[in-house]
Amino acid sequence: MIQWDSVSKRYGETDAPAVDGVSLSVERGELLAMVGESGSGKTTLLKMVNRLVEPDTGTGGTGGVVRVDGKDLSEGSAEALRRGMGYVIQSVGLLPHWTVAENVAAVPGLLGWDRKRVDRRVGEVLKMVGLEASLRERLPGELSGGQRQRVGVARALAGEPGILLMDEPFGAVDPINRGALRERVRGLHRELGLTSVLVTHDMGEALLMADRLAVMKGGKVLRVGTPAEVVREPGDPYVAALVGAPEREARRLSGLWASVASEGATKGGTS
Amino acid sequence: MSEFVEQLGRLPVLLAWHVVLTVVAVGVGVLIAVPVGVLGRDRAWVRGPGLAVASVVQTVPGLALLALVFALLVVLRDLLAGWVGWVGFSALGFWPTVIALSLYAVLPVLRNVVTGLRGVDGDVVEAARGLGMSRRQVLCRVEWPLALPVVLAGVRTAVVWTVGVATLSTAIGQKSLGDYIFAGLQTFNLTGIVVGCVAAAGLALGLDALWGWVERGGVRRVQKRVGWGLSVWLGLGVVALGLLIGLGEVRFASRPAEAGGPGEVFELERVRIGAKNFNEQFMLARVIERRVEAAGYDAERVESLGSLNVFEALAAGELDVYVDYSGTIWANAMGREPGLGREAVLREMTAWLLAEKGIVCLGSLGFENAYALAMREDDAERLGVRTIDDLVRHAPALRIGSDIEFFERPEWAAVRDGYGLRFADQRPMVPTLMYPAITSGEVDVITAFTSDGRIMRDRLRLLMDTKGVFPPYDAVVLVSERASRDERLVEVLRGLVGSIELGVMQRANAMVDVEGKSVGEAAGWLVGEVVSDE
Repeated sequence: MIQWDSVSKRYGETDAPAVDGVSLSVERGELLAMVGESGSGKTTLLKMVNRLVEPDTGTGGTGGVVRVDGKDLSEGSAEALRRGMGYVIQSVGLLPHWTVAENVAAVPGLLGWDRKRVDRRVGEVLKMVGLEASLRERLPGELSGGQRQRVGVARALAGEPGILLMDEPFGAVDPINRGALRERVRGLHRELGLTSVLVTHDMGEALLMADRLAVMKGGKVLRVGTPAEVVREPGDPYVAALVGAPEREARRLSGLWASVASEGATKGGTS
Repeated sequence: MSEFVEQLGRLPVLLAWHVVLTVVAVGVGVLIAVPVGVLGRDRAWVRGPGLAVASVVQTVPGLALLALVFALLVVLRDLLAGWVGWVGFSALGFWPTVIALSLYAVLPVLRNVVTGLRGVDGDVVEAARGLGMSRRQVLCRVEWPLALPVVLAGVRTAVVWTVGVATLSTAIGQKSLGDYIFAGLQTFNLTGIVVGCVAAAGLALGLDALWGWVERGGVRRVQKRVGWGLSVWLGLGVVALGLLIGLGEVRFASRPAEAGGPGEVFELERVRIGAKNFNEQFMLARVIERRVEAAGYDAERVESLGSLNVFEALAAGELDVYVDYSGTIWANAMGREPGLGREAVLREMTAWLLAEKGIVCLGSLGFENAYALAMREDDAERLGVRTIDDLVRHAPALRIGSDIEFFERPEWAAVRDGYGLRFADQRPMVPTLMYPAITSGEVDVITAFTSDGRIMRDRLRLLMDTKGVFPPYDAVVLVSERASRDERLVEVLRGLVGSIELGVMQRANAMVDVEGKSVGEAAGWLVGEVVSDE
């Protein structure tokens, strides 16, 4: 379980806070999506979990703490913490001078697994994300955007983490592959019993993938709930507008499909 | 053609030295630049001063930097010697060259290390940290390999620069391709100059191409995990090589006061003979060499040294013997005014050298090589100039050419102020070029040397120094404190005193400068002419 306990983050003295007193939690085995525009604080919140960002110290000795399974993350080494979590970011996150296999083997290597085990694990995770073994020796620059993103997911899973952090993981993937990749990631999350956090600006993606979602704006969480709850009761005009967009799209698309279908039926009837 | 073949014969040794100097200097430069660059990447207080110092060093002219490092090494060695007794590194040759060249090599590498590291994509670095790499691991496995192409490009620049600057190391007694160029400029030997330049340029191009190949083919492999390790091992290997060569050099350097108690006989194994950068000096060094070799000593000539460098080197025990001129010591080292006669100058100088520097002056070779102002005979006739006094009136319309150091010497101040001479233009140049310059009318007056055979050839008139502002310039044999303890050697060298008359020296100089014979040939003739007391 991941818990943010009234955490804040201000990057510069004079800047508005990137995260402003947020308390939030992700249950074990749950997939939480954080949705919002850029600058809403969602990525900052995510990076507090693997300590790429340290929260500001709380006021009066309370708050300002992120916990995993009840344990304050600021105790212990950040490196060890990160090696226990999968982290997926946009495709630039692959190390450009390492092959696919080397990228995927990064965390197991840091964890000190023996060669054989690393090798076997690389094979396993590449298979999990649907990549052919023949790509192992390619460099990231020689892959398509979709392939790169699958390598990113495989790399995040290679160290057998209990927590999976994803920051806009499907941004650079073409629409056809995006759907398939979302389903696969959602499936892996469930099969492997992961506790996952997904950061996205795409409300549709959040509604489709998340067990629960947190809508963010200006460093604050406006609404938390299951997709159904948020759709039913946005509780805030901004959230309503955000939820409304994919809904309107979906309506118009289903209308289009319906009309195409009825056209086909009419044609079929007359011929 | 045979001349060309003779020049080529020296190529392997000089080329090898040039390569060693370049490789060691760049290696040391890299070992300095990489840590500073890595530390300085995120720390402006390291980066700023580091780059500033490297840039300033870069602006110091090569010859000046070499002389500066030599002088500093002498001071340093004397200091160390004061604390711990004898310190055995040589302040001439290899070490000052490597130090100066390394300092030059730092800037391009440092700049590229900083640029390369700062140019690494921040997202990639964050991804690496997100995987759980420590700062060190991020640096070694991600940032360094990604910066490596830029770093290698910096090393490439450093290599090409160093090959060029290394040609100057001749001036502080280091063998390099510069020997061709310095000697060639001295004797106006175009073959030598061309061979030296072509060899240096070829070496620069060759190393550049080789490095290009390393960059293209090697980077991909090196960029993998071995990147850091390989770089470090390469650097250490190069420096180890340099140390080995340096240690080899130390054996040549001054040995401790091995002369034991009284009664024990001290024998020098190897006699290091110095020479300044002109033909007469080259020939005299060879005369000394023949003589000490005939007496059973090993001899080594260290040529083309600057006037001040060679004196300091003798005082510091880097050299054992060379020929200097009394007026030079009188004015430069002692800082005395002219006015005394030959004998008095010789006497006071000898006493001063022994008391202040421990240098033993054995006496005059028998001729004077004095500075004198010279004009074209027809000009002098037309203007009616016979003495320096006559020249004063015409000087503001005339240009004077001189060797590179004359205008910095006290003699110039003496003659200028003593007579009130003001010329339209002062042009320092390599002594060899003074004669073509005056015959072709580029300059109207030159500072000639009285023993020079070209005065007659080029129909120049020497102007009389009626006020006696130029000191006497007896050619004197100077022996270092250490060598002077070898009594047999001193006796051997003493045999040279009074053995060369002015006419003989002029003739030998003319053989090279006028008749185009090689220095070796003329020296051979000179050895035969030396009046022997045996």
